[in-house]
Amino acid sequence: MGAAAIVRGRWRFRLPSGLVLVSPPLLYAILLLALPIAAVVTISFWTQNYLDLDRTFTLANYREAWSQPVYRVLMLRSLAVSATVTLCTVLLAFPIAYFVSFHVPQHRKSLWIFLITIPFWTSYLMRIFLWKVILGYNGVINGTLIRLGIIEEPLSFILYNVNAVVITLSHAWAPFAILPIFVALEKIDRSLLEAATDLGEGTVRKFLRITLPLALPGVLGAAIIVFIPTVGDYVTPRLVGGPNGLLIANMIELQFKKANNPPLGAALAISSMLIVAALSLIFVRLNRHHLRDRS
Amino acid sequence: MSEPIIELQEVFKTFGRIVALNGVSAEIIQGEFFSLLGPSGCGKTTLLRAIAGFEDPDSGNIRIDGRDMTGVEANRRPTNMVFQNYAIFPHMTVAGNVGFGLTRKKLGTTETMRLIDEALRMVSLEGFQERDARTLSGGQKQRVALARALILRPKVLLLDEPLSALDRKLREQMQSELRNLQRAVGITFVLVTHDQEEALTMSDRVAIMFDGSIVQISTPEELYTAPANLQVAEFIGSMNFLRATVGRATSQGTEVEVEGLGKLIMASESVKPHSAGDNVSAGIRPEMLTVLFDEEAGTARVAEGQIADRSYYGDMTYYAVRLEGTEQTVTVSMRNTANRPILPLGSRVRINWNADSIVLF
Amino acid sequence: MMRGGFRFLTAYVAAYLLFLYAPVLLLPIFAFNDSRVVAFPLQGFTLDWFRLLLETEPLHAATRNSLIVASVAAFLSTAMGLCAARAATRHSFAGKKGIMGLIMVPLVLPEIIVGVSLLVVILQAGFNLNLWSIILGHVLICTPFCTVILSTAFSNLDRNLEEAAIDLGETKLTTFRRVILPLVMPGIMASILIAFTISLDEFIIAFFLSGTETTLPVYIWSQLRFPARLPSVMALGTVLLAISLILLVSAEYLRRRASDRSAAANAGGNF
Ligand SMILES: Nc1ncnc2c1ncn2[C@@H]1O[C@H](COP(=O)(O)OP(=O)(O)OP(=O)(O)O)[C@@H](O)[C@H]1O
Ligand SMILES: [Mg+2]
Repeated sequence: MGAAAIVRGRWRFRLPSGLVLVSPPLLYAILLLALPIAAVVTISFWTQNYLDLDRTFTLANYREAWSQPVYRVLMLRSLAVSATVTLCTVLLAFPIAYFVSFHVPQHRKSLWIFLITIPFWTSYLMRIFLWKVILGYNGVINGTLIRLGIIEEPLSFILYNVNAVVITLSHAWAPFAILPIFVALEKIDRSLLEAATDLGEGTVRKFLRITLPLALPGVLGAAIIVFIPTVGDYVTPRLVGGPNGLLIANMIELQFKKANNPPLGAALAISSMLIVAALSLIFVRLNRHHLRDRS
Repeated sequence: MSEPIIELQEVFKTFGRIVALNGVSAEIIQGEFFSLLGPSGCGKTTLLRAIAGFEDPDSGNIRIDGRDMTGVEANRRPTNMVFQNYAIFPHMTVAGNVGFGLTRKKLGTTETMRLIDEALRMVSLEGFQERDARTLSGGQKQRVALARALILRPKVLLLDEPLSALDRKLREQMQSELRNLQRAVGITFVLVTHDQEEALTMSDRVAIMFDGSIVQISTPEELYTAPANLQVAEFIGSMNFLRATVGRATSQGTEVEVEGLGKLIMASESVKPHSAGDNVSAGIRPEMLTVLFDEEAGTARVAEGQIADRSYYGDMTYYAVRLEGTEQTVTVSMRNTANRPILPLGSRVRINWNADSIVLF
Repeated sequence: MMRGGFRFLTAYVAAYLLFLYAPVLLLPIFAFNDSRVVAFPLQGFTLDWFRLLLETEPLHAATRNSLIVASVAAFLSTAMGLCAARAATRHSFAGKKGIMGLIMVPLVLPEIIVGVSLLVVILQAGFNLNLWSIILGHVLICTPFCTVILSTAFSNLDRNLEEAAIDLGETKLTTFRRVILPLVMPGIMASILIAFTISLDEFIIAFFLSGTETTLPVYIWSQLRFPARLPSVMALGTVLLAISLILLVSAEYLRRRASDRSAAANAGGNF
């Protein structure tokens, strides 16, 4: 049924019904997502004068965001932490996804996936806090290690620093890495592996030459899904990061709330969003190139 | 004569660059069993859905019962449909499914129940009212779909390959049931199928479709004995094609020189529109050729040949015979009777034919 | 080689599961631990922390707010998801890819950006921050999840069923009510439950957009600073975990029933 149809010699106009149908969520996304982001972009070019906003166009906020060492340090640290978290999460998650896809019987798979996601339905804040309990000076790990006689003094490098942030975030994002990889592995036609065995490939070579390349899109998806939101997290660094574990998101939050300088906060937010988007695009491009070369 | 119930005039329908219906014109007569037969992708489903109102034609006209259907939504047309996968509502009982279309008519409970009972009796599903629709077998679903459509007394019932999901036995049974049902209710049935046997055995008339066009509409016998063109002849049953040349017309008929069979005289009527000197194809069905066994007397129309291949089917044997004086082989089908031997490969045989059954293309 | 590799993999899986479950296992342990400090060694069993929850008035207010926000957000985002999923699975229209992309963007957008940008427009437009501002943000991030769940439900639904209803005389609207809605209802319930759970647990956006009234996670955040409050926070977490689990198990159950249903509907022929 087309957009318009001729009825008895005259045009009867019909809106494409799909467009009508999609309009509520579309308008919602435009009004409360696209427009607000545009607003953030706009105020990032304004200036805060105590309680008023000076609406003359200026690049001062961006100049400050990109030149002040404190912002640069936080931004670089954020990116480094996000990249590390992404790498750890994906590396740790892959064997799990592989196990569930290849070694768990078909009828148990959804149960396993369910089991893997259960821990993530505890309150997010509570989970982070509990990591503090686990990693703390008198925490579970130190307590156990001391009682086992492995160490004498509690380890101090595992809480209130970047390591703690990485561990906590790797935990928080685990299912978001496992699921896409699992889906990609599930899609692999098992007869391809049998064909490879038939052609004389061993377990390891089979994994490297067939399973891994075919699972790569899922791995990439997992990496993007983990990388982007971790840059925006400000709770984890606040709770377990200590003074040197703070990240750019904490600064954005600070500018919008306590420091009451939304334009600078906006400039920081937009800058980090652009950097993250650019990095993600480059990452995807590079890998797509790589994927195309193989095929 | 009988009134047309459906009139199709130059119906066109394209999907992007694909031309699904390329100017279809036809008339379907009140009360007949009409089949649309054609290879996969030729536009049968599209035509049926255009009649039902699920596809708007790009141009052309569809009239049902004398009324122009342009702009009339599917739910306002006097047609009902039996879907290929039956589309039984899984969240309802059998009665819920069969009575689905009645709710709008506000008939009252007793009348509705009576109509449902009657419809179920019609398809031999008495007592199935409260069964969960999900628990039905394929054949039962099919009957529910029929009852659900017929209970509304449509002017036309449209069926899209309703039997293709059934196994062979059940399919044959449903074919005759469907035919009997159609005779009993007197509603026009339009059946889409790609199974020629089904079309030939069930229909009053069959339309053959190729590439979005109807190339022939006729009774099953006519379709088989007098296909309109080479394409139809190849599509329906099997046929031998031999190179032939049209000769001069005489008082008995027109002479035609057929490679392997020699010169024959055909009724001038059946040679049209070809004229003297034309190179044509002479088509003859395998069962119109006969192998002459020794004791059977030769007649004037005999050709010599050698058996090149053979397929045994139990009741029938198909011989591929290489004719003398040509590279062409013809397929001859012979019914296996008690005193007829199965001939070995390489046997020399004489075959006989009936000139009336030869069709020129 | 293969056996050894497999054994290694199994050991790794066990270790990883311990890593995943460590925080969840500790939660109830400390909730029932009779000590004011959340640390080992354990001091014995108590229900005091749960009792304390019952007596904490601000907690009740926050819980009430959270339930309101989560219910409204779940309802609205499921309605949005219904529109989006239906359009995505059944219609083609100009710019479909871009439009669906925009609706799904919150899935990959850092939540802080969502929070910050909504904060900016709400304040600029001169509105007050209240529970509605949180709801607006939550609908935005829940809609993609609802859309995904409902798209599955719609694409499992046999298109012929809708056409059969139209063919039998129903209008688009009555077809939706009599055929589509009953068949995708389990999907709708699953979508509502998932959205409810996400909203109930969401902190970052709620923190940015809450005014004087706060939700439960924001309240928890305020309590984490006071060590004395921690054991009762653990008790609260245990209660929340139990509720989430019940909701999720029912969502999962409904989702399976939904796919069973449409699978049965699609089976068509041979049994
Ligand atoms: N909704 C659609 N969008 C695009 N192309 C379509 C659509 N429906 C049908 N077509 C195309 O139109 C042509 C005719 O399709 P149709 O379904 O009518 O064939 P058919 O004769 O019923 O075939 P079959 O015997 O396989 O069912 C095909 O090439 C098909 O791919
Ligand atoms: Mg078809």
